[in-house]
Amino acid sequence: MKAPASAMSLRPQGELGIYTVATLRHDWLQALGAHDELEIDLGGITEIDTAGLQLMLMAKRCPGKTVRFVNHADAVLRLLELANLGGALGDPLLVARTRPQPQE
Amino acid sequence: MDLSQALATFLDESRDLLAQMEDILLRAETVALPAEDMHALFRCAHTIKGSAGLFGLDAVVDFTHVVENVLDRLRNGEIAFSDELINLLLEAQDHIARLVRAVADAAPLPEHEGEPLLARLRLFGDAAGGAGAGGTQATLPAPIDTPAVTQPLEVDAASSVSIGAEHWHLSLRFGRDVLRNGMDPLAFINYLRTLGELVHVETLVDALPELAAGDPETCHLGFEIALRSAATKAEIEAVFEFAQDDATITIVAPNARIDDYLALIDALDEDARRLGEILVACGSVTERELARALAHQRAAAAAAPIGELLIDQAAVQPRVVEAALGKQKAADGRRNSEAKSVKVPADRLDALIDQVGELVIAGAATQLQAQRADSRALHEVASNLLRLVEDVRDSALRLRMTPIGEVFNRFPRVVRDVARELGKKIELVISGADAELDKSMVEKIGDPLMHLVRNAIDHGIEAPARRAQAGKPARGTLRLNAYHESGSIVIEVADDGAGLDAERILAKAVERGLVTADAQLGAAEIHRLILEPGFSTAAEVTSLSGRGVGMDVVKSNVEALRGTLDIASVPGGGTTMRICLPLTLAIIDGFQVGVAGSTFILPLDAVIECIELPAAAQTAGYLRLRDQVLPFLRLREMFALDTEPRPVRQNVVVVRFAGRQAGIAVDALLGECQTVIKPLGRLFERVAGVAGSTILGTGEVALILDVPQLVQRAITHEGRATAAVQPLRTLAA
Amino acid sequence: MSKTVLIVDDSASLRQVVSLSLKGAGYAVIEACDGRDALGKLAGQKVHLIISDVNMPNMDGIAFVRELKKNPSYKFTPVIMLTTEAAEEKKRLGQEAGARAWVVKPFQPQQMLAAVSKLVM
Repeated sequence: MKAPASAMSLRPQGELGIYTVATLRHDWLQALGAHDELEIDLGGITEIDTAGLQLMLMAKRCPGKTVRFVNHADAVLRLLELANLGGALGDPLLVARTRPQPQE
Repeated sequence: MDLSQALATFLDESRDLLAQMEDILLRAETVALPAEDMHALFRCAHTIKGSAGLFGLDAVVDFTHVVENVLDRLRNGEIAFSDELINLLLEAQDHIARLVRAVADAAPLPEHEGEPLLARLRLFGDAAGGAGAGGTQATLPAPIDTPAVTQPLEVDAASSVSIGAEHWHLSLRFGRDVLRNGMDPLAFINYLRTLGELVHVETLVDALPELAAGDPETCHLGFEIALRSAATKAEIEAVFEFAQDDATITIVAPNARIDDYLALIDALDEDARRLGEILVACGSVTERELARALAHQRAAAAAAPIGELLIDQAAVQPRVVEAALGKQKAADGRRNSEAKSVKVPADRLDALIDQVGELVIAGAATQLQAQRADSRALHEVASNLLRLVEDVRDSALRLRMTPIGEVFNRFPRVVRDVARELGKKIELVISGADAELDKSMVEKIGDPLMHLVRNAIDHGIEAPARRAQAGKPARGTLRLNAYHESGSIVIEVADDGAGLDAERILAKAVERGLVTADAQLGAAEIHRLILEPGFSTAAEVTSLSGRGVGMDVVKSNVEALRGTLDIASVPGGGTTMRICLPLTLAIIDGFQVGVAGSTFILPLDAVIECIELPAAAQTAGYLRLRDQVLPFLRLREMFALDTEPRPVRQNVVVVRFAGRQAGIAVDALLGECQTVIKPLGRLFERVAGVAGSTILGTGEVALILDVPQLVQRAITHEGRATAAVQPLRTLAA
Repeated sequence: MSKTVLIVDDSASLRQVVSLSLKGAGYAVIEACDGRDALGKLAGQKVHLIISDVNMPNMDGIAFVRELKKNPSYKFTPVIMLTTEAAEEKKRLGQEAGARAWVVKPFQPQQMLAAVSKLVM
């Protein structure tokens, strides 16, 4: 059932921070082991801190793979703005910003 | 922010802590205190100081700080308890109590009174304590000592040129563990916004590893920040105080010299050109300035490395202290229980009690209606309801119940101080401190008790020499005891002193015109003379009892609480003053009786039994009950209700009070009922034998009888009947 | 979403004031009167910051933080310890136990608020 050179999508929920980065990194690496492209939907993120932001930046450093973040939650956008990293990640943010928050 | 409620909590809490402090200090006089007491003692002062600071009560903070310092040295074993020190600490505790009281009264704090104490306390505190005593400023962790900026030794014209930026430049490199330590660098940066405007933030990702290679819990990010702010350097540094331990925080002031930027670039690991670009991006330097600076640096590098020019590394190395781990485990059950109790403003509680009172009346009315309606189902529901209401009433009343120990607790100190002053040795034995009574009673019984205790020490217990002569132990014993008895609480103050001197009391009473010289009085009656207004033992007035308050005031205070005061004294053996109080002033279980169409209520607790009034005892003041003489009185006579014809049969309710019994003759027995005591109106205030009024389920008003007074009256009536038969006979005729 | 702060101190009035000022700034606050009480009240729930006194009955602040940091749910949670001026020894013990932030008693409510907002966004 495994798609050959496929994309995969993940939607982490809740905290993207110091308590969860180790687990999330593990999940993402696992997904990237099987797929070349990973789309991470950040719409379910309620909290983010420096560790979480750092993990996002690290995810962009994955030779041969593409990681895209979409649907950034407000908390994520606020932190990206504070760190002045909006552009650094290369993901379209404004689209996400105008989209209504998906309902849980 | 409204702090008034928190302030009330602070006042309560401080009083508790001060009481605890006193208790521990008093124990220190007799036994060596275990470590947990020493810690608890320290904590008392520590907590008061800490909380007082929150309310800006500098006078309390300053004074308590010095006390805390002494207590800290005590618990560390640097100094030891002595009589002098215990006395001093007790005085200090008194002073803190005075300050707290002044806060409570919103009065000016008597700060100056503490000054002599402070001087004495400082003798026991160490140098640091003395110096720190001035620490009235409540501060965040002391502003980090910023090492003076190291000035370059050789200053040439080019490097000291100041450059354009009008903002602070912050260069932040955090320790690898900063995230694991719970610090969030972006939170610090976010906080900078409270100081000014973040002109530019540059997040450095150069050190960031690949996803597969790196540990996301380790901090790999650095930050370069331009901040426009009027804050001082120390204020900006303080933002990073919690992360400073292994962080490199460099702060360059607005309009800094180019040297400072060079030093910054030099100090950081990153490539100089890359950093330079960031500084340009931040607007902290211009490209031209950067180019010039870098060129200058290259030139200078040959001669002398710029080296550690600046680096305000705001790190304070954790000082290694080689003291042993002091395990602190105070087994303080009382404070532990704090979490399980809720403090409620007294007026809310009073309102609840009031409402429950109304509920009780309404419940009784409902039951009455149910009875009349003659519906079994309704009757059942009403009974059920009434039972629940009774339960609620009991629970509500229990909310107000407070252990008498709350009052007893203040006496160890009083006894100690008074005994010292008089050169007497007295041991205080407290028992029954758990016995509970209504909170309002607890508050009101304190003063009368205080007087009795002072009296017992002053007049009751003899000086050691006299005790030795009498073959008694030199140390006298004063007992405070409390227990419940038939719906009342009995509080005893007992000494093992000389007992009351009946002869002298009588002589004095005669002198004062309270009795005639030829009065035939029993011992108990003579003893009671000391409770009479106008009786004063002025000849023996000492500094203690010379307070203008006589025993008559104690007596009337107690009576105002619907209580009684009794005296039992054995010559040479001591005196016991016995206060008997109702448990509550609010609601009682009552027993209704009818007299000439009116309803009266007796407290059920006082009722022993009911008997039929023997026809033979129509007029006499006593009757025979199972071979005992029972004094009795008639409510009809007492309240002049004899206008209506007497019923054929009358009943006697046998009541008791303070170990004595009396009969009360009534027309009808109406049964038990819940009774909410309402204060007496002015009309009834002076009516003898009436303690209060209530509203019945039917809406009628009923008087609540004052059993202690009735018993007393019946007994004296009996006394008169036996001692002065003549008038009675005349009356009968 | 409001961030949650746990305040552990045996002084009810201190807790009340800190709690008032933090709630005023939008934080949710949990109160506990000593270390043991705090561990009971935490019971695994998420808190973003803990403020703890050092000197407390039953379980003091040092023992509390030591115990707290053993729990994976709280190993990264920042702890502000309330200290006296000259408590280097306590500070060292607290640091060993896992506390990294300090506020000296007595403090003003707004100082505590500042310390909290530095640590929790």
